[in-house]
Amino acid sequence: MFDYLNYFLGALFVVFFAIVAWFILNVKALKKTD
Amino acid sequence: MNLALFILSIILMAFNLVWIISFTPMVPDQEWAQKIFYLHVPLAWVGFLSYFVVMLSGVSYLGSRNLKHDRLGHASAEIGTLFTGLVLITGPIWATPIWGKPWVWEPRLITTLILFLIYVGYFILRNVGLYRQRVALICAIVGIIAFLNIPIIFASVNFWAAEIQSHPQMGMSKQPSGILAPFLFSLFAFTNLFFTMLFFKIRVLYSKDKKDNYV
Repeated sequence: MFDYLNYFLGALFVVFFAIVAWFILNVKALKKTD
Repeated sequence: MNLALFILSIILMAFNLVWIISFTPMVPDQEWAQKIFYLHVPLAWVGFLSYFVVMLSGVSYLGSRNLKHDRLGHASAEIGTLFTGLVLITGPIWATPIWGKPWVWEPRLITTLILFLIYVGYFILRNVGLYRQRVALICAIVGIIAFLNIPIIFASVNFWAAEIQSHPQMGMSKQPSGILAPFLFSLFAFTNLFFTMLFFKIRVLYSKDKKDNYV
């Protein structure tokens, strides 16, 4: 039932963390120049 | 417009996540590991789409020498590299339980890694300190040449001998029923996310160019 669930959650975490981090960095960059 | 797109992206991704976790069928032997496929393949698709945009904007820049095309290329290349990097991370996460090892030196993996490394070079070029128009010209040319790698990645499972391939083939018909609809939805959600990120990044780059008096 929960076979390999940790791998899926790991992949999910990496993807969403990277995208959210990208948005945060770009909002900061925009605030610097706007 | 951008805010509406951003909110739409959040709604689509939330819906996508719920669908993937709760309503997609479990594939025998792979179980949850197979669900990585709903993230991995759309990420790869968006990565290729963004490099296609880089190529088009490169051609436009060479024709017009207008920096707005360079900003489009830069924004798209950044998102493409982020997503290709994620493909290279989620792939090994899937492969560790399924292949028994995170990485094998087979054609599709090698060509994707090469694509990623070419774009790492592209961003090094952007930061070596050349003047703005020269950077734009060189990056337009690199973006066009780098795109040649994409058809090679697509065809890599056919180019080289079958015995050195350990990659799953593209035949969706071999997949259990119930996989296609959430997969296509995930493709749509990630494509929408790509455009949201693209418009946002273009705004960031425009604002930077304006500050540096290039606009």
